[in-house]
Parts: sequence; structure tokens; C-alpha cells
Amino acid sequence: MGIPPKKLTAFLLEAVEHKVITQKSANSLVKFSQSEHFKNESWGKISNILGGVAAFTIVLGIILIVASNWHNIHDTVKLTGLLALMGGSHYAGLKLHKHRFEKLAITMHTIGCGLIYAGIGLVAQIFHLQGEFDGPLITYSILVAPMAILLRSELLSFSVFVSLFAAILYRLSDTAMILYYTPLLASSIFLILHASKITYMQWVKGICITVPFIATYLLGFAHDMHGSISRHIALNLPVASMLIITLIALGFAIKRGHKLAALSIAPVLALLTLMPIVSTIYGHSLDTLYDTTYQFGARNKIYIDNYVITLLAWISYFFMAGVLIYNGARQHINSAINIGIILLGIGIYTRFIDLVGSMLNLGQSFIVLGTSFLLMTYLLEKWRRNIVDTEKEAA
Amino acid sequence: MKLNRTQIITGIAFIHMAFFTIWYAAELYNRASPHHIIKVETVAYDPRDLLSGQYIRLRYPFQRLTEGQGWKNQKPKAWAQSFTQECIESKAGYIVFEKDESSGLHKPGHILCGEEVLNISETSPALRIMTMPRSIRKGIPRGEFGFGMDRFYVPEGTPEPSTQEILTVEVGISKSGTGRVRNVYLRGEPLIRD
Repeated sequence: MGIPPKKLTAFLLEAVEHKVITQKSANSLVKFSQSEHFKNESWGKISNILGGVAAFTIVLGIILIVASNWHNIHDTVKLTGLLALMGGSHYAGLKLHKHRFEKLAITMHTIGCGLIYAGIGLVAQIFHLQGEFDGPLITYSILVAPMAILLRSELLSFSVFVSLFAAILYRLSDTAMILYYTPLLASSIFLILHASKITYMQWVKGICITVPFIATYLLGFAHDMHGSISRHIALNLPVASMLIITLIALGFAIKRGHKLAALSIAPVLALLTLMPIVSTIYGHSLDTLYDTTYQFGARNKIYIDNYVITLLAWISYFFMAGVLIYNGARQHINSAINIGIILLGIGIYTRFIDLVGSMLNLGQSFIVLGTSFLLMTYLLEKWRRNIVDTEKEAA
Repeated sequence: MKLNRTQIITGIAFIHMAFFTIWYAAELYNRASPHHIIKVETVAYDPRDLLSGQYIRLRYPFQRLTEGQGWKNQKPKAWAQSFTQECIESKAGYIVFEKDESSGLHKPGHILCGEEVLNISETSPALRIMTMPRSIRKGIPRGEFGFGMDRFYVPEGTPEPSTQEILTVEVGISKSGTGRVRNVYLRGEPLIRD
């Protein structure tokens, strides 16, 4: 769908010149691209994107409110409220589907599924639980995969894939866990592929986009590591696999002539390749110079190389997200804009949230913002449905 | 019987809600009926988690593997190697606590391995080690144990206790040795009041 009219006309003109189609067919195709049906489909896609952004914003808002920890509310009431919200979202989704608001229905189911993360956070908070990073990711994936398959939702499928993939990256050095996770990831990809409209090629593209982001995202926390990064990350399995996939992504981008994509991946590749060298040079010499003991005693020294890598990773991450959005807008690729905005949102949310304000205030703002997106999705859906009805009546 | 779309979605949503209800009920049961309740000393610092909020990170003196915790009269490396084999194979390591009657606090005793430790737990609290330091798996007696009870979540904006202060943590230990933080006390006062 998202072919710009000028591009389409130029393309058809060339096709006529090469006698692939007749002038008459070209005129019919241009006419069709300007018809209400075609516009209707495009609007359907916009309401899909808007619905996804609404779900994402509302879930973030609720997670922030949960995280702000209202201690004067009883634990059972908190959990009951969250479960009611979860059930209510799915119920609303079913009702909306019945009334033919399909996009909005999927948005409501996505909110219901996204609240699983809020639920995990809430139970962990109530009982002061502390687990491994991959626990919530795996729990989310197992619970949400059936819904992603049933709804054929690209956003939910993508979220399951990213969660499982992040869990695998986290456990890469643990052979036993990898043996356990890999079949889980493979079977979920297989199931989702067969249930959703996503093709294998789109998955490969997805991996090529996601991995450089995950790599830079994780490296963005290098400053928080115990000890010099050179002794922990450099040349180990996660970095090596990220390096290989990033290299493949760069190869794809160059082969397909996507100069901008190649330009955005290049710094990540440079970062991953140069990291062991940077770390080896700076990691040992500077840690003795800056032997500052933290008052809380968690980390004893500041490692300058970790801070250098953090800074480079942050720049690479935001640069890549910016290029993805810019490229998507230029070439009219909605999914690229969509993923770019989500990744930019995740980057800003997880790195700068502390600077903006309290979790409670920010959570409330996110919910208001998300609800307004939801309202816009509803209005778009209603308008689209009216057009479909009019078309049917005319037929 | 063929289920329609609505019934399947309702079923999945029900499973999601049932999962949280069962998890919550199980944790609530563990909290209400611990096998032992011990009080230990700790210090804190304060980061935040974007999923669950602001928390106090608790650091226990017995978390760090030091001489005296199990390898008395043995060379550290030899002890670490035997510890590694026994604990990794049985996948169960425990710190057994002894009560100091004068202060009322519990002090860490020996580190023991194997499920049979739980027999001791009838009389002495045995806290299960959830994660072993990587170094010890390689036979090097260094690193920190994890007990899954390093966090104490507080309402947003709660002032962090000074790191110079010694906190007292009340830990509920289940029959299987799993530890859960029940409350944290600063100069005898609980940080969170029920």
C-alpha cells in the first residue's frame, strides 16, 4: 500500500514504455490508487499504527503508576485492580470486535497482554522479589504467544520475539539455559510465522534491525558494570554473535543499496569491533588512576572505558533510531517509522525517565496521552467503517 | 467441541489472570507461614527498577564469600573445589544460621550442601543459596552469593537510609529454604508499616 502517487505514476509510465502493461491499464491502476477503497486501506493501516502507539503508551503509564508504589493501598486491592484492568481490556476487545472495530479491538487486547509486565512488576514489588532479568521476559512470552497467534497481531508477535531474543542474549554464556531457550524461540517463531502475515524475509529483516539495537542498548549500561568491561564482555559469545548478526545486517543494507541503513549500522559495528581494543587500552591503566570508592560499596572503582563505551552506545542507538524513522518517512515504509518510534520511545523512556519527573506524574501523563491516541483510533475506525458501509450499499 | 474465537480469547485472558492470582496466593501463603523468621544485619543503597519502582538494595555481610564461611582448617582452593562439586552437583547450597541470644540477631554459620541440610533446618534456619558466584564454579573461592532477597521496594520518594546505618532485615524462610524479606528496620523502626 504505502506507494507515493508520484512514484507509482513514474513506475507505471516506465512499465508502459517497456510494453509490460498498456496505457489503459496504467490509467486504471492510477485511478484505483486514488479510489476510496485504496484510501480506506491506507487509513486502516494508520489506525493500526495509532492503536499500537496508544497501547504502548497506556501500558507504560500503568507500569509507571504501579512502580510508584502506593503504599497506602492494600496489596490485594492493587492486584485486583490490575487484574480487573487486564480482564476489562480483553472484554472491551471482544465487544469492539463484535461491533466490527477490529483495529481498536486488537489495541485493547494488546493493552491486556502488555499489563502482564505490570503484573510481574507488582507481585515482585509486593513480596520484594528479585529474580534474573530473563524471568519476566520468558513468562511474558509464554503467556502472550497464544494471543499473538490467535489475533495475528504483528505488534504482539514482535514483542514476543524481542522478549525471547533478549532472554537468549542474556543467557548466551549459560549453555544449559541456551539448550532450553533455543527450541522455545524456534518454535515460537515457527508458530507465529504460520499464524501471522509476517514472511520469513520480514523476520530476517526484523532480526537485522533489532540486533544492532539490542547490542547498543545493552552496551549503554556498560558504565554500571562491575569491573572493567574488557574483562567481562570483550570477545565473549554474546558480543561475538551480535557482531556477526550486525555484520550480516550491514551486508544486507549494502547489497540492497540502502546507504542510510548501512550508515546507521556502521557505528554499531565499529563499536562492537573496537570495544575489546578500547577496553584493553583504557580498562587497566585508568582504573588505578580513578580509584574512587563509592560510599555504598557496590562498586569500588570507576572504569573510564565503561563510560566511553556507554557514551558511544547511546549515540549509536539514537542515531540508528533517527535514521530508521527518517528513512521510513522518505521511502514511505510505515513499519520502519513504527519500529523507529517504538525503539526511540524505549530508549528515551528507560534512560531519561528519572530526569523528567516522578513516576506517578509521568504515568498519569502517559495514560492521558495514550487515551487520546485511543480516541483517535476509535474515530478513525468509525470513519473507515462508514466508508466501507457506504461502498457496500453502493455495490 | 469446537471453540469459537471469543471463547479462546476469554480462556487465554482467564489463564493470564489465574497465573497472577495463583502466584500472589502462593507468595501470600509463604509470607503468612514461614518455617523460620530470622533477623540479620545489612547495609543499603538505593537504585530504582522501571518495572517495580524504587527499592533499597540490601547487601548482607554473608553474601560475600570470605574465609571462615565453611573452609575452616582447609586450604581455600581445596575447599572451594569440594564445595563446587558437591553444591553444583546437588544444586543446593545453604547457609545455616545460629541465633545470637545477646543481640537477638542471627549470625551465619557454616555453608552446607545437599538436600539433607533441610533436616537440620527443623531446628536451625537454613537459607538456600539461589545463585553461586561464577568464580566458585571454576574452583576459585571468591565472589558473591545470591539469595533472591536483595531488594526491598519502598514507595517512590522514600528517603534512602544512610549507608553508614546498619539495618536489620526480617527474613521469612520457607521449609525449602527460600528466603523472603518481610520488613526492614532502621534503629528498631520498620521502614514500611503494615
